[in-house]
Amino acid sequence: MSNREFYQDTFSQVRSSTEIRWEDYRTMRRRKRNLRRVFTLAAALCALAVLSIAAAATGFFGLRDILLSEKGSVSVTDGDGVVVPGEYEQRDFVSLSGWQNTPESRALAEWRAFSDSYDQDGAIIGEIGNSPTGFEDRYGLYLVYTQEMADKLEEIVAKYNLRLHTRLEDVMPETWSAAVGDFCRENVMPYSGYIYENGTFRFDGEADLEGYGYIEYQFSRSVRGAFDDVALNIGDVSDFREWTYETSDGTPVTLGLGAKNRSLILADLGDSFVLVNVLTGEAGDDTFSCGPIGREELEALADSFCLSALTPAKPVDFDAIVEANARCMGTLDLPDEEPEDPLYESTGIPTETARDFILMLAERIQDEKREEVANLLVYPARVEVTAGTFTVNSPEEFLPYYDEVIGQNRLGLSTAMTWEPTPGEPRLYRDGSGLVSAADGAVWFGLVEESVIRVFTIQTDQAAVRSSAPPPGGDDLYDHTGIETDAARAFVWDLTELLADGEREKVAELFVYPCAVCVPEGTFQVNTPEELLEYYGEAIEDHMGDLIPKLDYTTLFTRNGLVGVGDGAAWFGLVEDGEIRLFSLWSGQGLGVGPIVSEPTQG
Amino acid sequence: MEKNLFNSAARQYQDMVYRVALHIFGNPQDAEDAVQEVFLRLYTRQEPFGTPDHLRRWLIRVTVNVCKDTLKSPWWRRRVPLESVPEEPVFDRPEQGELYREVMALPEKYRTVLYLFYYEEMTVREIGEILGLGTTAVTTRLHRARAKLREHLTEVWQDE
Repeated sequence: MSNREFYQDTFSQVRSSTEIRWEDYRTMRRRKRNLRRVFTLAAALCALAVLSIAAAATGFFGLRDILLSEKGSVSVTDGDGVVVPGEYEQRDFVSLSGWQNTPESRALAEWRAFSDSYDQDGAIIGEIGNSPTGFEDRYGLYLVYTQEMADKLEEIVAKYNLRLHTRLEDVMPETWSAAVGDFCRENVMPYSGYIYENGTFRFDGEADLEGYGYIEYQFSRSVRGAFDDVALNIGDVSDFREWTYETSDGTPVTLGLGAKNRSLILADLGDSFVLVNVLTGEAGDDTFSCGPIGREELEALADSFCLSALTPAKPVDFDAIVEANARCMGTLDLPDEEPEDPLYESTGIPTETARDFILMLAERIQDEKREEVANLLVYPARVEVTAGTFTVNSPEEFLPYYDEVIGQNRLGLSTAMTWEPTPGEPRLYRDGSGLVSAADGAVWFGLVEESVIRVFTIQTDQAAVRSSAPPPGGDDLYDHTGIETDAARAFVWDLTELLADGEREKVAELFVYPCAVCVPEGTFQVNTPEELLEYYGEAIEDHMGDLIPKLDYTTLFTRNGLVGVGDGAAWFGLVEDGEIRLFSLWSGQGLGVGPIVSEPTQG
Repeated sequence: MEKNLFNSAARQYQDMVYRVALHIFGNPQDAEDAVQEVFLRLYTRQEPFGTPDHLRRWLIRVTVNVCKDTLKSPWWRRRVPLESVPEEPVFDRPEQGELYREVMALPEKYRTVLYLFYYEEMTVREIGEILGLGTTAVTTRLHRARAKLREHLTEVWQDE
């Protein structure tokens, strides 16, 4: 018996014991939605067993302003987290939909008051079981299983002029960007979640905070105008220390640092409300995060989201989400398409051609065809040898260095370039620069013009030759923003000079209007350069020492079609007339000028 | 998906989905959960499958992705250390129980490759496509997994 037969004989005896029937899935899908709704609550219940210390509550919009008027009753758990049957305690619940005086939260409070007292012994739902109720079509996204419940829900949404959710789709981790845009910074990883038709969405996620480690959270964005029946158990509201904070993208948030193992981030974005349920606090353990957190970590987590990218809330393109999900799951049917060649996609060089090229280059190196190899390099190039670093502009200028860079490593290089661990599988890599790498990164080559392949880098432990020409991938910044890298650098350079020279009027002219100016007294809308100049000192000039070092033109990056510099100290981009304009300029203290993200105090 | 096709697919492929998930998770409870989730996705799928083999490959791919997604979940990571030793099926012959235990004792990355290669008879390239790995990585894992089995199952696992 062969190993394969042995393996198959063995594992053919391993079988699933679950009963899978089409009929069961009709109701299972519906139940799954309801389970999700209570998921947030269940997760909170697990960790909020004991909360004890009190904290000062302040007068600004904070946790008390999203509290639901009625406390909720939750099961008591023992020291091991096991539910004690028949024992309940009262907890504070908050709305995920916004401040308690909004129509959405008032509707939620009324619905909870009704549903908490309805069918308390579960007799009605027990009788219905998993049978269809007839309410699935309109109320499938809510826990409605009788006419009385349906009537009450209709009464509430009519009273507060709200809509009911009509559709919900799962969103895979990789699909969030397509679903709602790039609102997560690079240290944030969203897991799967779900999104409603109006853009309300929720997901669990993890962030990696520098100097702390990973921290887990549950993210909720509720778009105004629809009824949402989710509430979050926060234990005791007095257990939270609260303060306001402005995130790195200029969004004002309220932070609530829990005494035990739960903290909150709240942001009113105008057309939606964000609540991040952070799964640790001042006494947190390492179950969901690296341990306890303080103000600094909570602020760092708030900075990990680009909340301004979430407003205005846009209509949901379900087709795009479903397609992106399918792509992530590898379930798109692509059997009729041409075989993919990822190397060709990213470098313009078919794998087979790249392979032939590297074999040819290896052969020439091995045969010591110095001139031919030198002719394949891209010039000008930098030569790094023991004596120092030198620029060479032609094959002739490179040849004196040939032996030190290539000749003495001739055999090692050619062997590494031709070694194939499995037949027909060359060791070729790509990194997004448009170049192909071989020999574990010792050789990089790419297209310099159509159909011509040249070598950009040959490097060994002892020496290297590297082309100074831009890689064939082109200008990444231009591709994303329409601004050439050189132009972007020049803009930052000019901006820095104008700031340093005290050219207030010229700096003010660079902004996009209207915008919001953030000064110690508050946030004010300004509509013209003249209006901005009234705040210029407090918003910009007083922090010049902090601001100018951050405006390093070598640190450009892009997001949402804009160019960022220095960790987001400034954002700029093209406007309609083709000019480059400043969208924001921030000092380290959250003061500065930025886009209008919520109702500022009228200037 | 249409009822008869769905029930037929469940009869034919449910055990396969379970075995793939069992090899990834290493415990029957999570594998059964994955079976439910995978068939939920089949239930909601609108597009038809061209051939039975297309359906089979789709199910394998979705199972791998469902399991990977679960493995990334913080809730799963938290729960795993609390799991007891997985229960073992009853086999016809003792050496089959030995193989089962040895396979389940391997790290996940070796188990999955072994299963797809030996049981589903997939090529190294096909396995790489499903797992998002290069053929070199698949070959390496397969080689190491075989070596482990050869080391521990000297009487019943042959040299290849």
